[in-house]
Amino acid sequence: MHPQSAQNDNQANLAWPEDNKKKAALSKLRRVVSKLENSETASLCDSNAAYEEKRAAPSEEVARHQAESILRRGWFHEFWADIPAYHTSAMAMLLEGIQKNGQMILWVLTPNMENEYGIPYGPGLLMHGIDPERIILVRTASEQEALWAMDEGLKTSSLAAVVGETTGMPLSASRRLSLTAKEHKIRFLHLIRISEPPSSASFSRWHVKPIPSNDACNSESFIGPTRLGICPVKHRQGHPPAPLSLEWKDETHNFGMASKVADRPLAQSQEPQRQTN
Amino acid sequence: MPLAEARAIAPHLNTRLADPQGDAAALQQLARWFVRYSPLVSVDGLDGITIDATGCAHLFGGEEAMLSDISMRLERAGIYACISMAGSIGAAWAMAHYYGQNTVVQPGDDQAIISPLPVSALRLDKKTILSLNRLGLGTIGSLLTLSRPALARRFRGARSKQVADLLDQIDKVVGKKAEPIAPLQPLPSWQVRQAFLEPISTPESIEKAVQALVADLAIILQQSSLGVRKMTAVAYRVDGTVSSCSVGTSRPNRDPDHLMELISEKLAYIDAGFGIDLLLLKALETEALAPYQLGDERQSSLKSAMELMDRLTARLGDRAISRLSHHQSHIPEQAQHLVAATNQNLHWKEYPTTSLCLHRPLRLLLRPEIVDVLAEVPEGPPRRFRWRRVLHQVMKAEGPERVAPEWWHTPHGYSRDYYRIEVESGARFWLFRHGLYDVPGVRPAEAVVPQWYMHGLFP
Repeated sequence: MHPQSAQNDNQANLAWPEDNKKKAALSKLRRVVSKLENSETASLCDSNAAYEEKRAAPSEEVARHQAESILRRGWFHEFWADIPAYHTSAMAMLLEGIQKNGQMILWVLTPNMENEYGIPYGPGLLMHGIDPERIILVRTASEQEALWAMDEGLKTSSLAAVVGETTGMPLSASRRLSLTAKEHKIRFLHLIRISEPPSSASFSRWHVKPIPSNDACNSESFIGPTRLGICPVKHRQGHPPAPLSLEWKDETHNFGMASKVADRPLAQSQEPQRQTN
Repeated sequence: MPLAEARAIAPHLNTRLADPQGDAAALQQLARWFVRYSPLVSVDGLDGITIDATGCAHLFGGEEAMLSDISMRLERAGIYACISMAGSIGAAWAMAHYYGQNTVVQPGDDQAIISPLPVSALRLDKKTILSLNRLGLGTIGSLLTLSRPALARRFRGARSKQVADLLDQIDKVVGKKAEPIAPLQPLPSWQVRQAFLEPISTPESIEKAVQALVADLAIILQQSSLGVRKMTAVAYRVDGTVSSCSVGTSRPNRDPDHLMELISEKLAYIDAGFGIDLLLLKALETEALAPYQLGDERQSSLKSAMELMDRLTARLGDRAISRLSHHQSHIPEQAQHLVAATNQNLHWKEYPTTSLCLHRPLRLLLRPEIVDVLAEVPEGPPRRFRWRRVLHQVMKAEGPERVAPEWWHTPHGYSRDYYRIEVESGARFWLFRHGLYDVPGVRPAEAVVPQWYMHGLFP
């Protein structure tokens, strides 16, 4: 890895919270620097928000903007799974970000990822609130073709997002894709499965992993709602790398904050119990 | 005559091995080259080419000029040819084969000119020619003067087909009966052409010429409210060969920029060789395309998505771009099909989402993969399994969901018991046991030792 890019990316090292004073001071300083560096970034984000607002009806737009605020248009976002089995969790998190937007999604698969994880499955997508009709699937014969297809997709402004699944891409390719995304105001979502944090030109990088599900009965023959642990390990606007636990809510059809199991007084738990099986 | 005998007569005889296949291929290629004169071209026998030049001659400055242009170009390519043009294919064939020089038969002169030709110019079989000669009917003229019943009387006793063929050929040669041509290539709906005084060969100049043609075609299509679905650029080279490239679109389109973008991907396949002297751009398939309203966001966004699919298809091929389509089947891998990107009807509205909310994975593997499983009881869920060389400890298992085979397709197929599995890391998988165990008194075993498979991945 290039030393300078390593310097830029060292936030990418999984920084789950710790009480190290020096590290805290460093990360604060880093945030200040990145804010200074990205004053241009911030203004561009605002103009993008205005652009999105102009494109849709106001009431819908408010809801959509809230859901998509973490995945700004015109930027390159990464969803990183460091262990092969975590890949689907990263995909679920990615889908969450583009669920509300009804436009088409260009889904580019490298041959490697297709062989390893198959293809997105329509019935499963429907359960995650994504209409499978929105997906245009591109199965390429080489990594090079996949990069070209992603770049080409980013030039079409009517897409909700371009999703690329790879096992890593060169820094120059990621820089190029991020510039195309910026120019055409398209979201580029990179689903990456790699053991080491990659060096890339992304705006944000989310480390995603599954968390064992939890339910009141704690039964071995029932799996509770999907739980994910996400951590923004890199963010150009200086969001602190704080891990979050999310849980799938069937009622609202999206991920919400997962609450821990606690011994709460009976009066507070008036909500109807979820039916098990 | 054997070769040895021929060599004895003429010792300096130049000999070559016969290559009928190569000859046929070369004739096909030459016929394709003739499409520059008219779209209706077909190969005739082993050594002939038929062209329907109706309405085409004026493009080359009249019939005489067209004929001399053809003969000049063939001569330059080193091909010896007899060419003639007449009102019917029969007459033109007779003139080309038996007249001895290139001619244009003017309308009305047909009978006078073909009359002195021998009856073999009528494309008849040998037996009929022999009988005609025996009857003293040596020329076409002598046949034409006879009345049809008289002619038929002379063939009394012969097979009726032979007489019918003879009368048929006479009708064709005088133009009383139409003779259709089976064209070599599908006829284009529209085509535009550009001839060059000086042959072009550089990629830049070819691209520039194609760009001008695309713009011309777009204007024609706009005037008739059509959009192109399939388009071919054909380049005619000075050495008499043809090379072409075609592109398709997922929706009818007549945007010159978009069409140019698609075809410029393929222009590299056109081999200019010693130069190109004619370019044709053909719209092979067209569909109605009404002008759309400006500012209609839904239409324009659909249009740009479709244009993206076209660009991807042009570079990566048809098979690379697909969409997910639903098929009504409870077998998981058959519930989803990959269909061509142009397909608009994907049937996902028919998928039952509310009545039976079964858990389905986000990813389905291309084919189920064998896993090594350790289960507590044979019929129960696994306790531990090894997939892709990694051992997973099962914490929770939900199931089974039994999926029976479709007995109307596979009467002896195995049932599958699907389990949703959560392992210690929190990752969730979809495993199934292929085949049922034996239940004494209820059902026999489907498989001696059922095998476990990994089929999908949950988030």
